[in-house]
Amino acid sequence: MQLHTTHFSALGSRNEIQLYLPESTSAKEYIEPVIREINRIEKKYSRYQPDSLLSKINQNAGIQPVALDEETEGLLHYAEQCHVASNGMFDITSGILRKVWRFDKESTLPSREEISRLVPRIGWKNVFREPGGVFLRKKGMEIDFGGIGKEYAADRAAQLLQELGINHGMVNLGGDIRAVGPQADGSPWKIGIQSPAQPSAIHTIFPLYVGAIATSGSYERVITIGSKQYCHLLNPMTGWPIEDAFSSVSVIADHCMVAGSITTIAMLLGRQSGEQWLRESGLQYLAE
Amino acid sequence: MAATKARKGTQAVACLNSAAAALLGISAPAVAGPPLNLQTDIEYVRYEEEGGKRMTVDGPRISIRAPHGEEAAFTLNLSHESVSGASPAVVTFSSGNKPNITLSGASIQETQNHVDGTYTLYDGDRSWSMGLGHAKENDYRSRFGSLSVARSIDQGNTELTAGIGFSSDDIQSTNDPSLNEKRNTSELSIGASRTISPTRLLQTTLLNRHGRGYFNDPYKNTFCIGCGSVFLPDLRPGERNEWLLTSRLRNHFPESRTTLKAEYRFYHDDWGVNAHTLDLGWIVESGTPWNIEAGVRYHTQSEADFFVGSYTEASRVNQGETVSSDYRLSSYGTLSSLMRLSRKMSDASTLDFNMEHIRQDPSLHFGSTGSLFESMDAWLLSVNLKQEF
Repeated sequence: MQLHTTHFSALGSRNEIQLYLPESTSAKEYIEPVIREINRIEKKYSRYQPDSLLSKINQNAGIQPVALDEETEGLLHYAEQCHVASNGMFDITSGILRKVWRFDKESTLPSREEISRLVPRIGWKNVFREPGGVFLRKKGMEIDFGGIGKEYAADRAAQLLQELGINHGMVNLGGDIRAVGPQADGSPWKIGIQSPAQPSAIHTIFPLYVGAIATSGSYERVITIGSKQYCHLLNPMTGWPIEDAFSSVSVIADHCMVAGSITTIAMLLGRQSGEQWLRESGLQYLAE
Repeated sequence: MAATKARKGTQAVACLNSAAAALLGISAPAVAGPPLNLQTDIEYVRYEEEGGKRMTVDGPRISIRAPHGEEAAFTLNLSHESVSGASPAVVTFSSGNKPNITLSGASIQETQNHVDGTYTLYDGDRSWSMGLGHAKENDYRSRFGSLSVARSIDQGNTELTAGIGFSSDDIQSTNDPSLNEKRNTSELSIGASRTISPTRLLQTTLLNRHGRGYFNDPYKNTFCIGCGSVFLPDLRPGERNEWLLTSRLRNHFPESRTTLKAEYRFYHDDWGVNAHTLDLGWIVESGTPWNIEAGVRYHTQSEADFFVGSYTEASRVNQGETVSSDYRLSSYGTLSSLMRLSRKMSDASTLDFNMEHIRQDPSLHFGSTGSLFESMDAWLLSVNLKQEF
């Protein structure tokens, strides 16, 4: 068996697929359908592409319902489960806050007025779903699949590889990782987690035989005003950053989607509730 | 903080797991799109009948497929083939009533050049293609074009296609410089392909082609005993309506790393020709740098209404106006066996060696024995290099 590593860009990140194949086999036959599948998901659910299904749903907010296929209904159902599980802290309508919050080095704090103008447009309760369709009740409201979409693509990619007969491979979509079986010699994939204090250093190595690992960090995208740091994780109810968020959380689960949303919810809940949430999940995690 | 105590963890994980499993249980649509990189396919083909005694065809073929942005692709096919030898010109009877194919006196020595290009635009679940092409020999010229549309439905698991095509041909003859005839053909096709699973694909297409104009072969004659002229020119109807139904199944078996290919074609035209072709192939990924494909193809066809081996003045009256002794319009069968050895050179290139033996024999005709032609053996050999950049 020979290890083939392919790098490509999609979903706004650098991605990697590693496959063990018999000597004579071309990786292209396996990689190409996977990249096509990832591109399909990106095109359908991108908030940047005006002709995506997601953009169509948002453009029709407050105007009319939009017909949905089974896949999108499934994603919305998943988003609802996350919303319920987190008591409303995970809300796919909260992405609209990005209009006023920016988290690069020169960013400044938005004004209270700017934030309070947007908060009324947030709320999962205003996403009206019926079989085969969805209607965003308020004009100007938006949904996006941040925190779900990339993880879903990783699961889909892994599933496709499995269906094509791959037993030893790994999909890494910008840090959302799903293993398709262990390495060819039966040993686990070794997944290094960056240290929040020293991002260039690997701080822990997780062995991964099957399943997925997802990581969320609050240390990379922050605004520092004086001694106070504002992280990019926003409370959908107030429109303000989570104050006592973990620096970094990693979770191992069967599905990358689940690992990703458990991680995000732990961040959104803050250290105290988040720690309890992670402990009670029964999953393997690393939080600091 | 506004964070309140969340739903109890394990229960939440169970709910999320079940929602994720349900979502991933929806079969993922297969996606069509332009190739990710430039692809080239260079092939050298040699075909010879009866060890090169009858007809040989030699030459390179080049195919280039290039992405144009993220949503379009361009395909260009070029070929340059030299044809030499002689195509059968007339059928005569030797003793024992066994027909002989007499080769035309002047041996053919010509080149065939072919170029065609297709531009395809991909737009979500649809794609549009437009193609144009040109083929030229020293006594024949064809210009052709096509338009087709494909649409995927049912989460992309089913693809429907429809297309139209036209061709305009000029037919000349080196034997008769005054001959300058035309033939126009139009065709319609519809098709559906269904991805039953990521490893199983079923495809069916139906094509109807309608041609009007000059269909005679200016190099062919029919032998007539007792007619004023011994050799009568090939004379076919001025119109032809053809139907072709093709069904394909491709099944990959990941466990054994093998793939089964099966194809059946049914052909019918209003000249009375009915043909059935069955193609079976088995690809084995051997675990060495070499992969092997082995296959067999069986073809059987009935003769055209106006086909005769040869005839007499008396039978000529019943024959009507049209007559041809072209063996391609006779009833016969062929059995081909083919072998492909594929050598993976790198992740981006593959070298293929193809070998096909074709046995054409009247006794291979399904049911009654076919027209009384002699059997023929032919070989098709090709080397092919596929490269991705």
